Amino acid sequence: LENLGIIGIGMTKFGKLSNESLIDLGRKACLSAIHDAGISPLHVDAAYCGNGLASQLFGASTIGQSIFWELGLKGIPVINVENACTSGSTAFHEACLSILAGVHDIVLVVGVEKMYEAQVGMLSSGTAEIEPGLGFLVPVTFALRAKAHMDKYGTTPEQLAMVAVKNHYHGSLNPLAQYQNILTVDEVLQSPMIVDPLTRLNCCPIGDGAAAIIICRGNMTARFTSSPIWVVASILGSGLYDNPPILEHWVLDYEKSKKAYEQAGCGPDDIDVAEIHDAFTIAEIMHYEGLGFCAEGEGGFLLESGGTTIGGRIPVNTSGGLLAKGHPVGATGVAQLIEITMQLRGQCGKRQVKGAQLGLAHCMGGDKHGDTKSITIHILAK
Amino acid sequence: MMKEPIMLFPQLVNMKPIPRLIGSKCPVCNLFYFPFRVVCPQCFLEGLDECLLTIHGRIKGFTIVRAKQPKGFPLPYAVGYVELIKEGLVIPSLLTADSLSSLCVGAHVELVIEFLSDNEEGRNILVYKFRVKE
Repeated sequence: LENLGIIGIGMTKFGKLSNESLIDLGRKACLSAIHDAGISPLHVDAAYCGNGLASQLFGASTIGQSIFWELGLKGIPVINVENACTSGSTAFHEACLSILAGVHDIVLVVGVEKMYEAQVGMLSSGTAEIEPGLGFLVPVTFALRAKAHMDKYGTTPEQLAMVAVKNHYHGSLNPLAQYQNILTVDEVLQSPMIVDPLTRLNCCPIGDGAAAIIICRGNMTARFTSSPIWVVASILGSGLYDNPPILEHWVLDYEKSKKAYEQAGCGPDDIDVAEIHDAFTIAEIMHYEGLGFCAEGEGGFLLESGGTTIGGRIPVNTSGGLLAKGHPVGATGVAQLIEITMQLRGQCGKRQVKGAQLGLAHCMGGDKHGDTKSITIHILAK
Repeated sequence: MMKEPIMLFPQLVNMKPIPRLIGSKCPVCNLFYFPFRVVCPQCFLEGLDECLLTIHGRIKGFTIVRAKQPKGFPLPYAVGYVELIKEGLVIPSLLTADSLSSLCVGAHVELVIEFLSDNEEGRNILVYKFRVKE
């Protein structure tokens, strides 16, 4: 796919941003991406907006048009994308396809969410499914997975806690992260139990925020930058919904990452840095295995060895991940791609992974029948 | 006067003569589904037969929710996946037992209709659960 270059990025701080509306957040992220790219809004051929919850929380729809109106964009195609936690990365994927199809040259993608104001508390994944009605909150399926992984592979509560400790350490190096505080394993274990075995600090927070990216047809990037970041794989998939459900890992992780590595012409050992969907600590450990960073069952050991901390073999969630950087649902998928872009550009300061050439962003969204509803995997290259 | 209780997801349960969950069966693939679905995801046959599922199962995985429950759910409560013995089908369910500490993977369970909570009008809400057999 070396026909796609990222030429601009911008994002707001993540956290509780009471004084800013959904539209304010979206506008700020878009403008900073436009400035970063050195383009004018006039150059934008189409604009995609990823948002997960505004229709549910605010009764708002077609918010992409409202955000892009603020930038002065008019007449161009505007596409609103809802795909749970992968709303932003699905919007990015679709934007890439529109360039590959030869339809557009320069596309703007924004992911945006505002969750604090509406007081959502703990999310359920929607009322159309029976599981939420039966008390299957989002953490429940992850708790069931954690227990299955512990039973089968001996993963421990301490190892789960260490994911939060690592990601908070990384978040403390990221000025845009929701949480800047360092945690200890004990603090994570001692925080209130939500759903066995996940304590509160094993769960990511809700948040407000926005993130935006400008993608440009490959042979045109030279007009704007001498160092674009290339999109070398872009994969979107949906659930397999196998019965019986497999709880110890996601089959989709294995299948879709294989496809992404094939598209990029690389393997998991070539990846220098990754952002992966750590909505709950157990998920990060399971994704190490599914993405091929270690063998099945060895995720806990990889983490414990320091292999996924900055300075390790394959640093994961250098931004702080969902656990510390925060998780404004619609913005997350785009923000992950921004972190990888910054790492490859060498713009990460204290959390910079030295010499990073190839990075991966992985996102998952929604639950149904013991599987995820959506997965995206992107690989970016310098 | 006591008002009639309300059943959560009434479309999932056939109450008489004994409560049983309503699933569907593909006559070609011989596979069962729950909740009911119209199209078989294996062979894409349309118009699957409705069938009543066995009330006997085994706990495949479970957890206990201790905080931040959805509205109307009394804490703590147990949920998980139950494998239906006859069909080999794994389904989501609330779980119940005389003591939640008797829940374990592999435990034999049976379908029951139990009280969940009262709604805002004071009416009882009932729901299907699987209860650990003592």
